[in-house]
Amino acid sequence: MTTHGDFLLEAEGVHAWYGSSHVLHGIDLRISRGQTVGLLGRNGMGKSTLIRTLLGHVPQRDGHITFFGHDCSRAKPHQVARMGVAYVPEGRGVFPNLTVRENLLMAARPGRDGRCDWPYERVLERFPRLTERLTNLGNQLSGGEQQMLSIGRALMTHPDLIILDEATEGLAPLIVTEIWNVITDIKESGIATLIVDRDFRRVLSHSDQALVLQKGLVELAGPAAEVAESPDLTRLLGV
Amino acid sequence: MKSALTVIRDEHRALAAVLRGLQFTVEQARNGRQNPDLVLLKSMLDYIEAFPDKLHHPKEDKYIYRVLRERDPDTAEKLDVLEEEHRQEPEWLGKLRSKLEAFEQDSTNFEQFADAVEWYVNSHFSHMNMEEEVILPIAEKVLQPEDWKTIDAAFASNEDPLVGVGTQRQFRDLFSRIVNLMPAPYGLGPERG
Repeated sequence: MTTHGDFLLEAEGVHAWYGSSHVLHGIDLRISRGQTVGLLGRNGMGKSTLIRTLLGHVPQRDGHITFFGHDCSRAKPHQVARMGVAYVPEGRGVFPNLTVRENLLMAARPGRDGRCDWPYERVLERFPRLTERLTNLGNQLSGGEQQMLSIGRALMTHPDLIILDEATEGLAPLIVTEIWNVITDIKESGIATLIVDRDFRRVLSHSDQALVLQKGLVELAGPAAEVAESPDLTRLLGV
Repeated sequence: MKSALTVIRDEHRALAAVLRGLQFTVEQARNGRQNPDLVLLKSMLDYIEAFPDKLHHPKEDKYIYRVLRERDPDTAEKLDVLEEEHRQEPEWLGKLRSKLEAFEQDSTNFEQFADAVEWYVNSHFSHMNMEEEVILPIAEKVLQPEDWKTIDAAFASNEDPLVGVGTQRQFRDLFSRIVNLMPAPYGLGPERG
């Protein structure tokens, strides 16, 4: 039986607003340690807003959000980050005027429990191309290199949860497949992930659990294999 | 546990990415934009030899096609073609390697190698399209839940920590090597003059 203590993240009845626009209408989401959760839905259904709300970026919000049992319902983004949550944003968020090395080291810190299993050397070993680009500025990198840097930087914070928002957007097929391989490596190293990506088949094949949003509501949720078989899935995703 | 269909589609996507990469590398060389990287080309052929030939195709033949023949005899003709292609694959790949070796020894042999790559990649895509667009949809319709139970379990075996993590790890490492050698924007490697 799963108890509250088993959950890394618990969100209950989450609402969010942008001005007068009510975007999320009572979302429930739970992520256990080491679990991969896929977040699906058409454009504009609330996926990125849900992520931004969990991370404390949306000021107009309501509901209950805990990380490791600590109430983070009103937490600010830096407080959520300190709870062991790393974010790989859509658009990568690489600092353009810092070198690759600086981008990696500026965020580095041990995990909540003192873990240091993704040190600088291991990140460079996993992303060998970054080794060749250490002195290059963020804005001198290709899109694929920026994405690897963004994921590498997230790993160097030794998070318990990594949120990946459209990590494969606009990249070539080889790099896209490599990012999914990296996601598999992250999962194998025991880090939980929350994944948003347009390739719903790949999201479902890499996830343990999945939920599908429609107009700010969870319309479908459960084990990813069951969501993949649901007759409602293609209708909800418009595919 | 991933379903067999999910595993097949995932494996096709990974293979398609490598095949497109192979095609891209040869096209760049053909258009005089980049010198072909022999280490990269060999790595891609190693991946194709190690992954689809030795792991992917045998699973399709042994678990899906065999049951499909029983459940829907009308598919036999198409399955004969696909299985024959699986059988011929090592020979096709061997020829491709020979052309690459000939090119390595004498650069004037590049066009023969490039033509062989084009033919090989197109054949592979037409094979995968037949599987994904014709055969797998039929399988989804006619195979029974008990068939899928056996098939899914067989396909999951290379996810099994006791059987396949090392193999999967090897494929992922080889794939990473290819991505890191392939020049941007198709891969993460440096541009070549």
